[in-house]
Amino acid sequence: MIEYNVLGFANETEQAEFERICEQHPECRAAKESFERALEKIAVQHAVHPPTYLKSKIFSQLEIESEKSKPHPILTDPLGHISKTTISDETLKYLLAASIFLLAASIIFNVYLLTANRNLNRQYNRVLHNTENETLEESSERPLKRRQSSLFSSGESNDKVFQAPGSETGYNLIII
Amino acid sequence: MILNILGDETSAGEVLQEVFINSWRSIDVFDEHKCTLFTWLLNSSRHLALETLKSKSYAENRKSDELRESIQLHSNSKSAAVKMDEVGLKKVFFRLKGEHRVFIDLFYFQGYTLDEISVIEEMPLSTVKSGIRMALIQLREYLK
Repeated sequence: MIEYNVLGFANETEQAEFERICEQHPECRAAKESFERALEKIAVQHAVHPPTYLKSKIFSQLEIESEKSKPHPILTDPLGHISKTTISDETLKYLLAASIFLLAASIIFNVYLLTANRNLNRQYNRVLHNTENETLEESSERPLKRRQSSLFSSGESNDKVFQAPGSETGYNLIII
Repeated sequence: MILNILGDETSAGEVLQEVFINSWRSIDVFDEHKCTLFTWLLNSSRHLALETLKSKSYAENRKSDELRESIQLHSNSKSAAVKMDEVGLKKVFFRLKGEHRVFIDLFYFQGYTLDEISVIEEMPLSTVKSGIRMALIQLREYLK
């Protein structure tokens, strides 16, 4: 069981189970650590040392890696001064994610505002249209009534005499 | 370990470099409560070396190398593969009894699954499993 897990034969489920057992039973953990130490000792004893150039190659590669993982300096501010503030890759990722989120939220909000604006315009036009209709109806009815009352003035004969509006001298029209 | 699996120093050097760089990048994943740093590196090395061994380009390169060797051959009594059995962990593991040694070689150093070993050795899966278990018990005794 211990050797099987330490040498990497176990699958993920078996490994998880083994770790759980080690947590519950300290003697099992101690046995595992003892086997690991013995394996390390014997592996080092029989190890084949890599060529010396490989060591320096690996170290220089690791140096490049550590340079890559260092925080990136912000080169200049808008005025061209060199900024002392630094920003790490992790922070850059968060900033990028936040800016994408803000952009998406802004687009959604703008679409919402545009739709609301169109609806309001439609409502406003409808109200304006209704008001104009009502005003037109009122304005066309009022002078007609006034004229009707003035024109249908009482005459002596049965004939109805219309006086043309605005004419004092009166060209009277007679409707038979 | 890497040399035991791959059998040539150039490829082993490349894989070793990759192991260190990968470990450097994923050091946050390492949990000292789960295993020692040595075990972590050992298993990473084995995993990457087996991956390289199974990769198509490596297999093609190896085939052409073997062809070249077979042309030159018979002047050297020992092939590179045999020499690799005499170094590193393989030397230790190969002190196991014959049948157990075969199982460990196929499983640990060549990356075959238990099912594949069962087919290769023409044995039932249960026999292969118990063989591996016996080999590990032997190994434990040996390391004591």
